[in-house]
Amino acid sequence: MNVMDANDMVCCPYNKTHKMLRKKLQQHILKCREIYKDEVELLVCPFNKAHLIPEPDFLQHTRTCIDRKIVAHYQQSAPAPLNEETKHEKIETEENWDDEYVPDYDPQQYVVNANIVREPNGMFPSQRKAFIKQERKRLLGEDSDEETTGSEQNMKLPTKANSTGTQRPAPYKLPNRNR
Amino acid sequence: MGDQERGRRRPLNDSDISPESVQQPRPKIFRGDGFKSDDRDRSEASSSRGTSRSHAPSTSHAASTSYAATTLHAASTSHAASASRGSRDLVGPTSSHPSGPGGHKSDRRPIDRFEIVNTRPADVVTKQGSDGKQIKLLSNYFRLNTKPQWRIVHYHVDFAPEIELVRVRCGVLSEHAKSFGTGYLFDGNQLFTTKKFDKDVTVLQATSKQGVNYTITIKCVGYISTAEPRFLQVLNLILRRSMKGLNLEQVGRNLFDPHARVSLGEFSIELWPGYETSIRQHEKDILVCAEITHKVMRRETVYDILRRTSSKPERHQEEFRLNVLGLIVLTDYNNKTYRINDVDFTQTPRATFSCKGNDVSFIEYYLKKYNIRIRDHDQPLLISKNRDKAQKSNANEIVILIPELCRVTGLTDNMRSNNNLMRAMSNHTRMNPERRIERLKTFNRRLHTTAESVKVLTDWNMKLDEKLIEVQGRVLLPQKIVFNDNARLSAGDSADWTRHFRNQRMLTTPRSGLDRWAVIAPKRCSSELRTLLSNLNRAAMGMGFHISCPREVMIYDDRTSSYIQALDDCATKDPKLILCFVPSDSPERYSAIKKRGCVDRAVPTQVVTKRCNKNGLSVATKIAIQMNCKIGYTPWMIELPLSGLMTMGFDIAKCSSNRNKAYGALVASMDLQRNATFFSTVAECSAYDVLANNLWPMILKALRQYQLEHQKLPNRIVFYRDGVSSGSLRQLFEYEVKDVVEKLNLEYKKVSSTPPMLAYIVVTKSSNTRFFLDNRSNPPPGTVVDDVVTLPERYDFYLVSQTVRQGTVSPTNYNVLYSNIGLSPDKVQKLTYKMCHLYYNWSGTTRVPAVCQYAKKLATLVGSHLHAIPQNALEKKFYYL
Repeated sequence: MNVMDANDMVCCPYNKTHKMLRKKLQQHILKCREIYKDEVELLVCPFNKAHLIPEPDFLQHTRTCIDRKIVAHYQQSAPAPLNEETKHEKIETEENWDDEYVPDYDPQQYVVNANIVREPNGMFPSQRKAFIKQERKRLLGEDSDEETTGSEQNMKLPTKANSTGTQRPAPYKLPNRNR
Repeated sequence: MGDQERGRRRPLNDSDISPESVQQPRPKIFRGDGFKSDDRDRSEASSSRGTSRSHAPSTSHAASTSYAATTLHAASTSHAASASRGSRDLVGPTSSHPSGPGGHKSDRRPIDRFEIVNTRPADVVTKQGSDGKQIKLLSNYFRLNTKPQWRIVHYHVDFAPEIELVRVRCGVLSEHAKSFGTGYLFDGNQLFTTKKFDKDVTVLQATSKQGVNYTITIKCVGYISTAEPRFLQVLNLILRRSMKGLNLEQVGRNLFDPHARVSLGEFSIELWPGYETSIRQHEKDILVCAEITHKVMRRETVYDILRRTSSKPERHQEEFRLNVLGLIVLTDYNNKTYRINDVDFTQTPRATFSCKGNDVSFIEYYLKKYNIRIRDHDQPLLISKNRDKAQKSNANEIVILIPELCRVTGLTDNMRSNNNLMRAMSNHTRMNPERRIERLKTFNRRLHTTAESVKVLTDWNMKLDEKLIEVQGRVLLPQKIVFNDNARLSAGDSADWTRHFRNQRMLTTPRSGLDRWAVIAPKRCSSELRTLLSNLNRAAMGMGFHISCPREVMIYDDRTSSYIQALDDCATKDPKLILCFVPSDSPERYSAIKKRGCVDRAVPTQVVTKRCNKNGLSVATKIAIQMNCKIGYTPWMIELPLSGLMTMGFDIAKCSSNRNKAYGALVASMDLQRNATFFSTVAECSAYDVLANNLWPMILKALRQYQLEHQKLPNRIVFYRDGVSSGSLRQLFEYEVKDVVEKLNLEYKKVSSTPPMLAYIVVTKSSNTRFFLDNRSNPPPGTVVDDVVTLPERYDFYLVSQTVRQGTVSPTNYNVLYSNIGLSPDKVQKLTYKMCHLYYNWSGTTRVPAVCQYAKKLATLVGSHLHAIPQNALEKKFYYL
């Protein structure tokens, strides 16, 4: 097989036993960064966020990082010279938005109360379970019709081992997962 | 070696098929057909809509109305106002109070770990704007009039002995259909019913048609209520099931109609029309999105390729490998796709493998399992490393395939460059709005009239609205284009200001004109060169751009090496620009010229083909505008009511020579009110990473440049992020946005100024949403939709900024992922629309903000031609146009 395929599987820098496809690494690191934040300390390379380096090697890495050239480029070739000629008179406009300040829309606040189904994206399984439970309460709560209240009561019986919302087992079995 | 190139697997969209679009990676050289060039994101302007409306300037009156809308909306979210975003966890369960139409309880724990800490008290605002002319639009969504109201019971089903085929599993289970009550859904593993079995685990017996006895174990997993996302999944399943009643066939993910297929016999391909549907929660309701797609099916199998190549015995294996490796194939028996990684010539279908303890040959296996007779027993075997599976279980898991059974998918580059083929295809796939509406209605009618489909839907108490959904849109006023001498002209209703260049001068041009430049041309083209130069001179003069006589370098042939040598010669004289006049399109020559100019020499180059002369002055006008840009000046500007604003665009393009690499480009504007120039930078990144790893160094470079030019950092930054799918928004937020915000704050602290106001906007071009005006036409440029079909958990809007002449316009979706910019949604929308007017390769509006279009152009140029990082000295020039 060709060389690229060999590189296809990579290890997680936080835990070498975590192996995954190269394209899944970023996604994975996001999780592990959270999980291992108290255990493993890795420094992020200033040139490339994917480079997570243990502290002893960090200085060495910053000197030799291949992405250093993004910044070090300036040492080899001259930057663009300033061209004052491109400046022009200020383009005046009828409107001026400079002093406007309107609070920004935050969709999270809307969805908390809206009558909509929310997705538990980016949560750990246990959080997802709790989330769905709460959503049920929120949307069907006291005002829900008989049928759904019925389900609420029945609910408590079978959803123990294999609750709704979690089809796959917890991806990382770790002692400190108490978020 | 045509088969070697892989096509893309996505069903083709109508608007994607234009012959121009397929030449995307080709060099952009001026072609004879006037303003048409291969940037497909700009669309052709329609000249038919010439009616001029009075362009009332958007006054501050409009701004004040948006406040009214704000307060209107406040009622439904009043609770939220009390708690700041970051400290929501303090809101205990006691604070529940009824609010809004649906909110009952607000006892929420801080489960969203992707929340960013925002200490500013968040006030109640709406994401709907109010500016512009209201118009009624239709969209390709159907409302769900009723949906299942009761709980759905979810089971997991196991068979012993195991059954591979989903079809057989369904068949075996159907023996017990009666005991599941009316309507049950089974997808092979999961069973959904409306009736609950008494026991949690139910064991049933069944016999298949072959007389094999199976034990079915049905385990109850739980209930699905209407409040959770999996309810939507079930709805999707129900709809899918009901669509199957229309005799549709599933290929990949979507359902296609093989009975309505269009055969393009002479190209040995078939087009299968199909439907892409998805049910999901939209702004207020759960809606069904339905989109017409087409699947290109090639009749060819890998075996056909084998037959074709075997004519030359000595190179046979090598050639076959070359043609086949990397192809994506579809196997009809299980409807799965595989990528071919290797060919095993030492084996044939007669080879045996161990299957459940017995050694069986492939011939027997396929006969027994799928009832397929393999005809040629001597063909080699194909090897595929099933990538997705590899991740879950064994890294070395491979799948062996039989060439005869593997249908080749996608279009080859050869096919793509075949204009006749593409035209024949686009006749079927490109639909104007009228036809598209008709097709959607037909789809809906069929669902409502086919007995089988109706049964499924009524069983589940689901009812689809028969009409397309109506959406209220707004058309933003045409923008004013600013030329030299403060001349301001309206872009007009069709957002095209090409004709204004007949009597307007460009905003900035070099004072001394283009005084030091060179032309390289083959000797036999000298008369054409004369025509070009005189046309250029005339066109440029009219636009206030003085072009002096160039240094002419005549070469004796049109070989690439001759051009490069001449280019090196010219470069020693430090020209501002080098124009290469070429007799024909040649990607290699184009690459070589660009590479020498951008990477080695830091001289902007302009490649012009001979054919451009056909259209004389209009092409010359365009070239002149481009040359002005390439030396760093600006042809036009729009009125921008914000000072100290920097807009940035980022996009990624894959490298054509190395599959592991990709290039990310960042283009940033300076303060456009005073210095209408742009800064660009490129960095290499990994092709596997969706999220940008080295974004910050690039942003930092842009900030430094801004500081250099304006002696201060920008007050407001709008970042348009392209090249990311909506599936990875969460990660994007975690990985990029948080990082950028954090580092910006640090950077601003260094110069002891307050952090900038930032808006991080994700731009998505390929959404399934369409809008129709008056039941038959496309919405005009400037149409904004920010309700009904948008998503509740996002601050998003749709904007149609481009004019299209053919097919249905596909609106661009903007998702404001993070914002503390302090502008109302109205202004964010308007600002975005304004930014679509600044792509200087096209005197009209583009589909995405100009900075994104530039970033894409630059990334593509570097990825497919340069393969190296261009010189810094070019950073402020549009050398990549």
